[in-house]
Amino acid sequence: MLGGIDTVRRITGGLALLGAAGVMLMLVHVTAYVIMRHFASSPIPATIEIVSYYYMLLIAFLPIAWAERRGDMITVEVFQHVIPNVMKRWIDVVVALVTFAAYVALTYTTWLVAMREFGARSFVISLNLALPTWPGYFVLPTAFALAAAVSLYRAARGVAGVEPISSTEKGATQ
Amino acid sequence: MNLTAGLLGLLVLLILLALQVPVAIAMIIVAFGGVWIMFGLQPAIGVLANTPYDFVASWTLSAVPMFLLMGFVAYHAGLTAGLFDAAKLGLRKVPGGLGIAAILACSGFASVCGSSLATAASMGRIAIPEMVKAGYRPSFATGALAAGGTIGALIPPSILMIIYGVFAETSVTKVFVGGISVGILTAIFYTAVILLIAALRKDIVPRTPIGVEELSASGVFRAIWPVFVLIVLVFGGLFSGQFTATEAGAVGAAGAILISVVTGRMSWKVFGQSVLETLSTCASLFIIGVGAVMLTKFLGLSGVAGLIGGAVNDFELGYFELMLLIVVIYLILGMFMEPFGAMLVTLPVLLPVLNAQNIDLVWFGVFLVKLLEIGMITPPLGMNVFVIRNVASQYASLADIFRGVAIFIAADIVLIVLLIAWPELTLFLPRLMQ
Repeated sequence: MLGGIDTVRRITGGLALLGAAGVMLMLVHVTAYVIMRHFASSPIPATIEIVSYYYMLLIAFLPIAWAERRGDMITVEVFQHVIPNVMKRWIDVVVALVTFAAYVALTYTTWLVAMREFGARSFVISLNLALPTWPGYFVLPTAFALAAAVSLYRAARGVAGVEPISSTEKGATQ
Repeated sequence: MNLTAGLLGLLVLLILLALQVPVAIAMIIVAFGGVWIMFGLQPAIGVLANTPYDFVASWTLSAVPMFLLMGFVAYHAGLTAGLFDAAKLGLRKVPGGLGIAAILACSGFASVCGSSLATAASMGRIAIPEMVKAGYRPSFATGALAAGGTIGALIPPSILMIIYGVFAETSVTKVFVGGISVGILTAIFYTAVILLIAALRKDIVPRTPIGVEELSASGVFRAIWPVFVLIVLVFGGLFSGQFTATEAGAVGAAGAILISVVTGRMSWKVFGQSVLETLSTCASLFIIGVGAVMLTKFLGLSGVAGLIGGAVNDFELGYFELMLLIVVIYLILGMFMEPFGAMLVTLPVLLPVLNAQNIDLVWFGVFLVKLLEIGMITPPLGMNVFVIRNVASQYASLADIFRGVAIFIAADIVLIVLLIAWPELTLFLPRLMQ
């Protein structure tokens, strides 16, 4: 009835893969940094800055839409068993819309910041290396926009009475 | 006016949480709406625009993905499977030895993994079938492992402690070191429970020696020494000041992957699962942190944080009364909330109070994690119990496990009282570092 699930999967999964690349890069980079510092006494320059201003942003924000789709976001489950099933569906729709609104606001505001930083071509100085920081700012609006789209998609599925997208798979990780 | 907005904001937060709006989104909405009402749209946009980047682009916080990866690799590759065997061999003649071995194995696993759930799941899967087969009452065996899992978040690494350290702006390493003694004390208390039951009720804990004929000391040693070397390297480096938390995490994760590859336990499936679970946890965790920072700004600006701090002063709550209040609040929250949400929703209100009362934030971090971990085993929402139920569904029902865990909660309460009465129990190790 409401198609497009494969497209949603592909796009959110793609961004999550970029996040996974962030995890791997951080692992290799920091390990190499430690080894170089202890054994070659020539640490890799700007490691702390690259980890903070690049890898962390990829890891924290890019997978948000993917986690939204899988239903991994943390909620309080006090009344879960008290609410009747009919109401549950409509509450889910309202929650999805509220979430959508929050992500839209985040997309807009972080986009403004990204454009400001881009305009200023912002950078940090680490020793005598100038590392541009503005590209990292664009990760946020990208990730939030996709998370907004996933929330809207979830609301639409709720209204149409299709089963929630997260019910077919459950990532119970912590 | 601002105060009203602040209090209304807290009320709206509770309503949104009850409707199952994700914790992060609920905090972001309340902070944004609250600042908008109090100061207008531009300041509200400012809070929304800058907080996500400022919170996440952090070197200290980058310890979280690295330690998560280390823990998930250890979990999926079964790196610590030999720990239980080693403990069994050492305790084969002790009454209740099998149960104590399970608790010890949990403690060992805790030093490569920062999560309570993963500790309970991995050790529960191995230990519960053997315990039941040896004649342990299933509700007690499952309860012991659900409780033993909580040691996972107490002995470093601990994801809860890293997030706390970042949020409370206190040294993660010191909170880690404080966690060692509380983690060990927890293991000792659980051991005492098992010894006591073994002495009083042989229908619950059998006194027969453990059958360890198939185990040889050298075989067990061969299975676990690489992990011990890794632990010594990671924590030796961290506590001697050679590594920052992030560096220790990265070295730990790289070491865990290396050991898994060399011992033939690594596969693409194990690797992929570990990375994806790291990612999923980071995504859901960091956005809550972002929300909590926004909520802190809102509560600070509205004056509610000051009001609550003032109320604590006006009631002339002493140290013990304040702690009693905090214990009760977290025990109740722990019944319904998972620990990260419970911690980050409450810290914006609590930290100003603690600062005003001059309470040591390193001590409080360890204490808070202990309280949150009790929440992992209390009904109705006891996540460790749910995990144990998943890995041992043929042995016990949820109600059985909650019954079995009750006596361990009682031991935890005694320990909580001791920790409040003697903060040195927690702080003597961190103080040695200065």
